[in-house]
Amino acid sequence: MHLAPDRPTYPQVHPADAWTPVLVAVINNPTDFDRARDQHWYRIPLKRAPRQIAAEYLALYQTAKFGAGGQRIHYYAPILRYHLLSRRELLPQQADHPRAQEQYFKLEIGELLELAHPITNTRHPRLTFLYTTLERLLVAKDVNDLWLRSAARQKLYNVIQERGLAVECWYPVDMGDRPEADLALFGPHGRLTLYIDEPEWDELDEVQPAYEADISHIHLKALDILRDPEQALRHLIQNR
Amino acid sequence: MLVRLGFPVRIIGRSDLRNHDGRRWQNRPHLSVSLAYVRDIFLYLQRQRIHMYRLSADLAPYLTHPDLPHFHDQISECEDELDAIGQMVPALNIRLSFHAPAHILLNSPNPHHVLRSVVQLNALAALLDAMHLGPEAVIVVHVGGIYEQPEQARERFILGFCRLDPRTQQRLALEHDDRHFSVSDIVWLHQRLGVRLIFDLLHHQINNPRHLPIPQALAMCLATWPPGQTPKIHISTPATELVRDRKSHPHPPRLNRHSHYINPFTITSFLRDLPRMRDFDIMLEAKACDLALLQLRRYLHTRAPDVVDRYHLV
Repeated sequence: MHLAPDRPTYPQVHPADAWTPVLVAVINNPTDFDRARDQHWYRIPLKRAPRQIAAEYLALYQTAKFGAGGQRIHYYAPILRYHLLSRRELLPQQADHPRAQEQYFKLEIGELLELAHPITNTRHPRLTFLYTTLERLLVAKDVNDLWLRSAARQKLYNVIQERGLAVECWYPVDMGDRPEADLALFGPHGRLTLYIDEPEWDELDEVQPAYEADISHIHLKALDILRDPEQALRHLIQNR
Repeated sequence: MLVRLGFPVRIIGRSDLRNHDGRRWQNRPHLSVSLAYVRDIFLYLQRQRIHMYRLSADLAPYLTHPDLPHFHDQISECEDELDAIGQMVPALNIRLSFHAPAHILLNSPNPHHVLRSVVQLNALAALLDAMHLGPEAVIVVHVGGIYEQPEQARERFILGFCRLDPRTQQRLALEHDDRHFSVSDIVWLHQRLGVRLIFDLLHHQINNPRHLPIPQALAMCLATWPPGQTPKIHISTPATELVRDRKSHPHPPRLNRHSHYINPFTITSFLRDLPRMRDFDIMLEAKACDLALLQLRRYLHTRAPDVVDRYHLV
């Protein structure tokens, strides 16, 4: 059997593959960044892990704590392995930590690769995990360009903005397993948060009552928005 | 009666959910990455209330590749992660299985080919064992080719089966196919090996030389599962779309080609016409995978509530 030369091909691997999954994770202190760069790992507490953690690449969002170079994504790296470890195993020098017994995903990563252009974050003070694709990561200029549900979100965002309404993407709201709304509209009568749902494909799925009961939240179907964002917005405004 | 519906491997409804780490060997794919995908898939199954799933046979990349020995220890390297996935299985009430890829042939006349098949099946069984899954987590295999001598080919399967590790033999379930080996053939093999049998509705409709009625053939397969284990069966319906070749000439579809969605009338009739028999689970083999399952379930709930009630379909 013919095998290709034994060398990694990360930077060149399927650069145009629209579906190469990338997990964007937050780095909020230099120690963790040094670990990612020098020791090649990143950790996610099991309890707070997002519903989707598996990806081929990890991109590092550095928070405002990094000063002038913060609030942006400079680096990404291939994910080589996932380990499930206790914090004590992960950080033996902190064996007395109150969460020493808690379980963590340890993501073993390759060399950090620098993006040609850093991806800035101008709108989201509380960015958490974000799932995107390599294609989007390599061309994005702003974090808003990364959202996977962004096709629908971006269309609606544009339509709302064209109407001159105040709108924000990924607005932090403490609600069940979706701590952030896709969009938030701001008007004289307060805030309206919008959740864009992935196509469910199964109408038998139970709608979570908490979402329905709270009138300041609205669920929209991504497909409806993609079909006709103007109509989706008209419907939204009429029903408010 | 409680029937679980399942689907194989691909998550069509969520194109961002992969089923295994498919990177090339140069990029160091790893079983642990595949297991992270499986963990995400389980959360999707939970959300959709789906309780049966067929894992990708490529879960552990290059695990048995003879030229890449540094991939061979992935199962021991992922002991904890496999155990963690295994713990999610009863918690979410998911039944898992593998289906051996088409190139795995225990009855090949080529001894090298048989050896490779044995190594790969042993590896799949080791994965299920490392997840500490019960005996219902099976590896489905076909008998293989006939090589112009059907009876010898059937007997060679016995020899190939005997070369498997005993643990692998216990994980195996044998499925008839749509061309060479019918239900009668696999019953013959069951009588000699004790291997559990998988009934496949479409295969039986296409390849039934002894004209066994469906309920009888199904009952013969179900009876091969020990008491306390729930058998599973495969259901698919044939594609009916016109097929065009490279020159754009129209052709009818092959009968054994799976449809994207399950024809709901076929499965409704099948389930309505069955006499009372033991419980079984249904793996839906449709190209639209999870979407086909969700669509069928929606249909059954709205159009065939008697079937849902009778089988307690989940």
